[in-house]
Amino acid sequence: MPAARLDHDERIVREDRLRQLRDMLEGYRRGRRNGSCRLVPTGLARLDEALPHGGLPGGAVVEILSALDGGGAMTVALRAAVAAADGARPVVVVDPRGDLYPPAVWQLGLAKDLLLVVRPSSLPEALWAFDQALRCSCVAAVVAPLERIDGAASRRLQLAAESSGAMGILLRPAADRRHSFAAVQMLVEPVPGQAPGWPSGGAEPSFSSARLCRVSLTKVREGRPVEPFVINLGDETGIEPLLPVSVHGPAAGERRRIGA
Amino acid sequence: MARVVGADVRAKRAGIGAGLTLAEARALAPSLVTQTQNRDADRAALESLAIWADRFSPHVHLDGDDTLLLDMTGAQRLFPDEEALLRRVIDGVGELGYTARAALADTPGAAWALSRAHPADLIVAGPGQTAAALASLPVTALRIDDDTVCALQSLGIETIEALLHLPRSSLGSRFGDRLLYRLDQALGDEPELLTPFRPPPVLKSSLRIGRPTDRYDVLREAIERVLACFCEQLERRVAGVRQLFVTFGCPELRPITFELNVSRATRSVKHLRSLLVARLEDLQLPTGAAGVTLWARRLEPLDAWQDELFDTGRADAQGLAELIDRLTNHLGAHAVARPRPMSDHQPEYAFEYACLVGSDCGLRSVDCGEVRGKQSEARSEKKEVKPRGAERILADSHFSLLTSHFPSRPLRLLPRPVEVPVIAVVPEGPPCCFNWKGTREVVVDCAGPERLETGWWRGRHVRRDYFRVKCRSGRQCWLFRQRETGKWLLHGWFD
Repeated sequence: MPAARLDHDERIVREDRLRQLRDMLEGYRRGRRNGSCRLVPTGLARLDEALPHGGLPGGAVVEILSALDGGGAMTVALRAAVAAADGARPVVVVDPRGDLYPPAVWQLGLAKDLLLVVRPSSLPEALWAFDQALRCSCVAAVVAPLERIDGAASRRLQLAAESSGAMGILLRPAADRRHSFAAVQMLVEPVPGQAPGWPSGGAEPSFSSARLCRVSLTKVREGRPVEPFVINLGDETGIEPLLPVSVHGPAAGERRRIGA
Repeated sequence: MARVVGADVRAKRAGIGAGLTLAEARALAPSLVTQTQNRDADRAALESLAIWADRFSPHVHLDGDDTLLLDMTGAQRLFPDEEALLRRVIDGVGELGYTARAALADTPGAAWALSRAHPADLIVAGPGQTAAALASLPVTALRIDDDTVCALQSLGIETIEALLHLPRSSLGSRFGDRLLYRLDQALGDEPELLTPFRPPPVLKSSLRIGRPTDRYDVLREAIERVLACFCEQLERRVAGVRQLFVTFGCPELRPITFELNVSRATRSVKHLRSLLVARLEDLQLPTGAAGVTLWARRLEPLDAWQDELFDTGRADAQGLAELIDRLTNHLGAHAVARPRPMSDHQPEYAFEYACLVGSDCGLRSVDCGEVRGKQSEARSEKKEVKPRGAERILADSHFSLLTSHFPSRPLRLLPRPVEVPVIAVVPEGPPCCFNWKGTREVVVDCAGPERLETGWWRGRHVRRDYFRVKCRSGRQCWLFRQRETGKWLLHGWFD
């Protein structure tokens, strides 16, 4: 019937126009970043699902907050950097504490000639080095643990990242959650460990190769708010326990067993 | 296969000579210190010696890797005593740190032969006595190739005298013209052309500032002009600079000089200007600057290439090099480094940082904590110089073994392991709980022990049992127990 067909056509045309307008808006929003925005999927499935567009923004600053040493925040940071490097572009790590261990970074899959380490001797130098590396368009990602950054510095870093297309990854203490200009800010906490239950007569307990962390996205540009979720960092090489053992406090009547 | 090309006196006494493989040499002397041959540096050193030898003769010719030929014709007035002249040469070279052998003769060929093959390290062959002086020398001193030498030796002709006794015609037909040519050159029957060494003119450009000033804008302008002239000279030579000195002349004070190193040869005005201006900010000029001079210390050939829109690979490499230069300029040469694997099981020695700018320097993580901020001492603290090629291959293969078969390593390794009080269930067994900075951490899971016994050649035998430990709070760290003392130390965090 002609009336229905016209409606159908009109609807299609209208939808088409709406889609075009939406794309234009996206383009304007992206165009603000000089069109250098690319998406970097981190490879951690739940994290990529929670992020808008399925990955971290390539030309922006990402802040990873953590409260504890050994919680997994640096692994997340370096996994994102390795994903951004994509096997072709260098990654710069600023190491003011002097405790980066490169063999572990190589185990995450970064080629040896793509890792560049800068070792400044003070916090202002570290901030300056981070800023300089971020302005270089040939660098894929810059990772730095920085403790105190004020709002002006944060804004400057974000602008630098947008202009060059490099991803800046900052590791900050969770207590210092001041208003920042980062495009993505997430809090990474380790999931408290539970002693695996003592199986009554079965398999030996072994060091689990799942490494669970709870991630809360405290700030995402253009993102929907999501509940905190758990990601599995896995274990980079598949840890082979040489002496599988599990220790917990003695309970009445239980025998302590140490695997051979 | 790495082979020895030279050895010092002590190594020679141990029996190490040229031609041995590295493994054989190490077997003869386990505490051997080795260095890779650096032909460019050797050549540069020889050239600087040639410039030094200018005081004896205006014509100095570089021959091979280690020989200088000085033409002393007409210098009898200046150096009447020939032996004393040679003694002066040897002593002078000795003061510069080299050992030398010297000979004086009528022809370059004879002088070459005498300096190499004569038992004395100083020999003068008087005028007309060339043939007599050469007689007892072996045929290898004639600058002929090894095949001819073998052929002669197989016939029993060891010395030049024996060679001279043979009829000339048979020499030519048997061994070719080259032998006859060299023989005639040595005896003076055939002329030999030597091109004197001319060092390339020093590349510098300077500007005098009318009134001494320490105003930033004036100095910037001066640097701009000096750089323009400097880079133009570089372009004319089709070269780029790797190392240059910048001198600010100060009235009534000594001039202030600093050095600028870049990781890649460059003649880009923009890049050099950004590095210089960054240094300008830290400069103290109490009486102002009256002039600025740039001297090129090290040049490298740099082809003329245009910035192409699509040549992103080269632009990226250049961009990275400029970033490295900026960081190094501000933070110091040891602050920017690329880590590379070392074939060592002890975790803190499993890698070293290779600096990217300036001379080759390898710093291990254990050294870094001490040398940060003390760059000049870093070089003297380096205990061992490892040859690059063979060791690197070993280190890479060791590392791929490490990643495929060994457990993972922590992302953060403390510069020095920290002792922690640990309660372990069984004295030799895994940890149960420990205290870290006032917090009690209960261990819920752990993997290990990974036993490392290594480092005995460093003097301290390290015997450690490593455990990867998961705590109740969720943190994961790397603890080890020293087998001799039973102490527990925390070495890193699996962050």
